[in-house]
Amino acid sequence: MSSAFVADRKLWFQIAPYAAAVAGAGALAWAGTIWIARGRGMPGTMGVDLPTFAGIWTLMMAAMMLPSVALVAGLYARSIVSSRIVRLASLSIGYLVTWSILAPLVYAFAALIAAVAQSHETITRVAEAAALLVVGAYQFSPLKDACLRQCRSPIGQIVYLIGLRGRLRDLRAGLRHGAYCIGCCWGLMLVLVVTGVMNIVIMALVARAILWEKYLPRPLWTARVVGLTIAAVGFASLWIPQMTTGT
Amino acid sequence: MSWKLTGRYVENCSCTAVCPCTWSGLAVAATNERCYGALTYHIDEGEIEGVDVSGIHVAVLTDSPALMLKGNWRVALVIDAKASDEQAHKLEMVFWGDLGGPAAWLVPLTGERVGVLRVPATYEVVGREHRVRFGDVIDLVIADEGGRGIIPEGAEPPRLVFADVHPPSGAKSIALAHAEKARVSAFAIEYGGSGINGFTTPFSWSV
Repeated sequence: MSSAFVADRKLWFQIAPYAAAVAGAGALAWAGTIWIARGRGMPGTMGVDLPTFAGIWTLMMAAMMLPSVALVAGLYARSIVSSRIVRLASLSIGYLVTWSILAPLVYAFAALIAAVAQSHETITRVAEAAALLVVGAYQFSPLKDACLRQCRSPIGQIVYLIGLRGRLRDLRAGLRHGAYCIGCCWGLMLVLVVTGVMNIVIMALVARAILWEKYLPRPLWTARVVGLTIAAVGFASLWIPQMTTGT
Repeated sequence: MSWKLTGRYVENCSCTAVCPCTWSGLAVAATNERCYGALTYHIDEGEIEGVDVSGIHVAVLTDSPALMLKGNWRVALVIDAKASDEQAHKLEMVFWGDLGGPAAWLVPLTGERVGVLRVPATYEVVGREHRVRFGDVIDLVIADEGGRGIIPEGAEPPRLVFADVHPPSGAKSIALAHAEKARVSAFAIEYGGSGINGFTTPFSWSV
């Protein structure tokens, strides 16, 4: 983390309990995800309907993203003097709503892959490899860099979020922060879809990449390495079909 | 644990043009190597945890990197000498950001709280001019834009409008102004001049 993120040591101790609470919610979501994933190594849409898929997807996003959001939430909590827990929960819900909006898109994409895979194995394999190459390329883009900067040093954003007024301010703050996270991580989540939603090992690898990008000292360099790795996997999957779900 | 303050806000900083930190959300650097600012609050009506603070003046002095987003600001408070100890204590808590709400915008940016001064303070509005005085520490004459350039004398000053708010005032928009005179000196925050950046707006804070 950049030293600018929280300059004051005293402040660290003040935000720690709230950061821990949000990170703890993420840990619970991990437990839930692992429990659901047992015996469900199925590809594509996992054979469930959209509402169920959306629920599982949101739980997965909570598991993977809440630990990264914990410090922002802790700082935000400092601006709250009453009903802190309710408002912090509201922030987290707003944040997760942003991610859950993607669920129908992901569901449609996974269903499409599964349908095409039945009859056109090669097309599926090439499409999945292409998706991974696109994600790898995105890791080098200015948009990724801009969103990652917001993610790593969100002080400017936080200053504005604290200023939001009105009944829905916490939800709006969550939505807004979530939008930057999607800009940062949609590609990494697409990797998850292509290599098998609910694959706990891949989930853990992706979540680790997200934490690396957020906290390691050389963020852009890290994002590039992650991008190269993803592109390499995509390239290799043309010859080793087991690396993606389509087959 | 509640507080509310309404009043008038006058800002001045060392930028030689309209402060780029405001319209960029702190993402564009100030025009000087370091950014010095005086954020002054003239409370018409206010109450903090049951203590009346109406009629008291408070200033927040800041010393930050040119790119304010980098944080680690040095921050000082200057409180009107007519505040009682109890009033001053409550105002300190609010303006450091410790009582949350809109004033907590400063918390993530603050690296060091350098101190609190208590000096006699006055504020008056004469035509376009906002005359702010905090003892020997702050002496400002901030004039709302108008009567020069393309803005006619009788016109309202142009306002900078924010998607959310201008964090220091919590206002949706702030009037553009400039310093006819500015002199600030405390805690190694030393700057001044004329023609440098200013903003004014009514403010209304509550939690």
